[in-house]
Amino acid sequence: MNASLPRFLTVGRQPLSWAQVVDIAYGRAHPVLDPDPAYRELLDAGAQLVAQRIDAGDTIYGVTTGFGDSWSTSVDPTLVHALQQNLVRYHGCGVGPWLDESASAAIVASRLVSLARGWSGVRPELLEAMCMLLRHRILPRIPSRGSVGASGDLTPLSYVAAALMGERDVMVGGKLQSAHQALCDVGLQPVTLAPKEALALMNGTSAMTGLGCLMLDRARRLARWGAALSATFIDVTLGNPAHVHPRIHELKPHPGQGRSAAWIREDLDFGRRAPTGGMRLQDRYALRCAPHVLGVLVDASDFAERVLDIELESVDDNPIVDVEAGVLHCGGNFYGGHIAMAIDTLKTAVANLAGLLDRQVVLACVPHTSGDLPPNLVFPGAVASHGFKGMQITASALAAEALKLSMPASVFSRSTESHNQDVVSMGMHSVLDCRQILELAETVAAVATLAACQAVDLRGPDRCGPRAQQLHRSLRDWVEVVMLDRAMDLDIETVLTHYRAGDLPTGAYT
Amino acid sequence: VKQVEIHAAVREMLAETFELDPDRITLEARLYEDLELDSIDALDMVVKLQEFIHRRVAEEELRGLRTVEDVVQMVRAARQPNEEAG
Repeated sequence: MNASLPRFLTVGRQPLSWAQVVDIAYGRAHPVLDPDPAYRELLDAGAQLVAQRIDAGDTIYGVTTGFGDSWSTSVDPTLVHALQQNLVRYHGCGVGPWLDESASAAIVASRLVSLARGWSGVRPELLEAMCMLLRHRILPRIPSRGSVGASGDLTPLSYVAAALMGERDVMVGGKLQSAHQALCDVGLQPVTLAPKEALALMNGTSAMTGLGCLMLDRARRLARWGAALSATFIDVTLGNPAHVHPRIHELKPHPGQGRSAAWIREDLDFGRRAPTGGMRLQDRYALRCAPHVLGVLVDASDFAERVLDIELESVDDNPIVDVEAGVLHCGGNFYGGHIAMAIDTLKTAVANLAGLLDRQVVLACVPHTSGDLPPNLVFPGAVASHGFKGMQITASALAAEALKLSMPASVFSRSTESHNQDVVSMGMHSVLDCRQILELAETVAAVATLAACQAVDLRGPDRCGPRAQQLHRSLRDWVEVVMLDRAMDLDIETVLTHYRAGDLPTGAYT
Repeated sequence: VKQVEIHAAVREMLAETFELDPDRITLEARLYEDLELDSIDALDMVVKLQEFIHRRVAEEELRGLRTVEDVVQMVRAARQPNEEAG
């Protein structure tokens, strides 16, 4: 029992990293609020500062005033609780596909990390309740659409606030439940939000940030898979491994390019294998420039990592409660432009990897470029068969769709909310695009894996490098070689299932 | 005398948090086998323990807690310096 105790992460003044948010999202780690008495006093002092200001009759945005463009409407102090409830309720207008449990957990975790910094005037009880949701995996059911990404992800985050209030629905272990019932089941009372708490919960970039963390994780895994496939296609098409010679990549020192070239060298066992013979002087760009295309993705992911980590350590609500100075600052830290830019960049690089893999599949299907493998990777003797002709078209269709979605979301600001929110980030669209592009690109990689391993069978595994051999060996435990024409849709699903479970030996992202 | 008091407090905490019969929470009782706590319960116990001792409980410390007596010893050790100082 003790060996299987879960990991826990202390949440408090110190932010969590994007990778820790991913661990919480997948239930590999659980947040526990910092018990340090000085920290708890800081939180209490923030909540008290808000309460004192209300008692003093001060005008506090979103606490004793209306929201957004309605800021000039005063709200009577007797209605401050109702105001917070109403904010949650009128934003219950999200639409579109529901986010899954890991996405919801990533969003709750991101919001928790930001509020726990101690600048938002929320009570420790609220943060404890958020930790409880994550520890017990009571995850708000959040619709994906309805955020413009400035004044934060108001509508998606209203579903987090509602769950804490015991309103709307949550997912528990894959089952839909009323939030009220789920809270009661673990002995948690619905939270009565104190003045400013609904605003603090909703006024931030945590939906795009939480999802962005998950996208970064997926993009990096895919980058390594892309390198493994590039190495395999170099092997099966009798490509020239000299294109990944370390000297070449030292002389163009983008870090991601160097790392990608190193992965391909590792996968080819570069420098230790005797030349196979019959190779070309120069390969087409889909093989020769594979480290360059992958390198853009790796470097884009480093950019995204930096942005996500800074966003996670940001206090991104409004107003900000400055306990030390005893004042509240009104600003616009909920503007998600950095996440939008970083994830737009990441998604473009992911889409280009889908394009690269699609090109590699085609190279392997054409004898002229495949080192004379049978056309369409048809098994010898299957004269009436067309092998991977249909799979090529699937890969091309998916790659084209991924590329089409790579249009930047960050340039589509539009004025809304009575022109108070007249410049917005659209960062939520960036992450939703990125998620869809990843889905498509992973599927192209699955098709490419099936094609590459078919080619390994045709070339002979002993003529291939260690990565090609490992991929081929694993795949053949799940999917048979294609000898006569047959449907391969389930084969694609099988590869994706094993990849997502971590069973495909793509190599580690190092 | 101290040990008895702390045991009583720990017993109350565990009984209340996990809806257990206090009589089962003897010093020798094993948390996971006898009291049947699961991994999420272990985290809830960490939260309660931290409230008790006003400091973080490390993951390694949690792994070292096997019986009620282990929990009592941890609370006792955490409270000792304060009492001496006070």
